[in-house]
Amino acid sequence: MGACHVRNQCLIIRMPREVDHFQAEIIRGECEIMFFKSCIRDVIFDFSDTAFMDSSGIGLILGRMQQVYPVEGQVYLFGGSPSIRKMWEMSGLSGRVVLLETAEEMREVYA
Amino acid sequence: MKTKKNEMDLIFWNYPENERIGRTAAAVFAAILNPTMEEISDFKTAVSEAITNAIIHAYPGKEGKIFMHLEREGREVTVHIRDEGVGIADIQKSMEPMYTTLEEEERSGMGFTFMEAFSDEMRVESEPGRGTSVYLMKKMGGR
Repeated sequence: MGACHVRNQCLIIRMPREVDHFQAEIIRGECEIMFFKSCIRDVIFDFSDTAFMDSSGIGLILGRMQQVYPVEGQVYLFGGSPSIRKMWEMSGLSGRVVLLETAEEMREVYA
Repeated sequence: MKTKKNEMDLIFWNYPENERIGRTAAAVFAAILNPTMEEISDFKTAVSEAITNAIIHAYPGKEGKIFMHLEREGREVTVHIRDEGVGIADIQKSMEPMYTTLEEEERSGMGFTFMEAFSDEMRVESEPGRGTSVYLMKKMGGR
C-alpha cells in the first residue's frame, strides 16, 4: 500500500520499479479504493522510479482514462524511459494524455 | 564476444508472482551477449508479454505449468514459452492491437503487438485444448 495519494482532486500514482501484470493488479486495487474514498478528477502517473514496464501498464493507464472521462478529467504521464515512451506511442496514448516533462509541471497540475 | 551455444530450461507455475522470475531469468541469460540497456529492456518486455499471456489465459481458474526454453548462439537469443492450456482459437484475431478477451480485467490487448515490436522474430503456434507456444528471437549487442 501507499503508492497513491490525492491532492486537490488529483490522484497521484507513484509507479513501482517494475510494472507487470502482478504489480498492475495491486496498483489497480489501490486506485479503486482512492476513487471510492475521494473526489477525483485528474490522474498523474509518475514513472520516475520505473525501470521496466509491459502492456499491463498500458491497461492501467487506459482504465484510469475511462474512469475520469465522465468528469472531464485528464490523465498525465511523468517520467518514463525511452522503451516505456515507445509503448505509450504505440498504444495511441499520445494526444489523449498529457506528458509532463518536469517535476515543476507536475506540481502545477495539483497546485 | 564469441560465445558457445548455451541452453536453459525453466518450469514454473502460472502464478502472477512468477512473471518477474521468468523474465529476469531470461534477461540474465541474455546479458552475457553484452546487450545495450534498450535491447535488454525490450527483450524483457517481449518475454514478459508471452509469460503474462500464459499466466492469465492458458489455465482459466486452475493451476498449470509454464515451460520456458532459452537458447543462445552467436548474437541471438531465442525464447520458447509454452503452456499446455486451453490454446487460442483464432490466432489472427488475438494478434490484433487492442483485442482482448478479458474486458473485465483491464488488459490493453497490446501483448502480441509488443512481442512483435520488441523482438526480431516472433512465431505463435496454438491448438485449442492442447496449448500455446510462443517463439521469440532477439539479436543482442548490435552496437
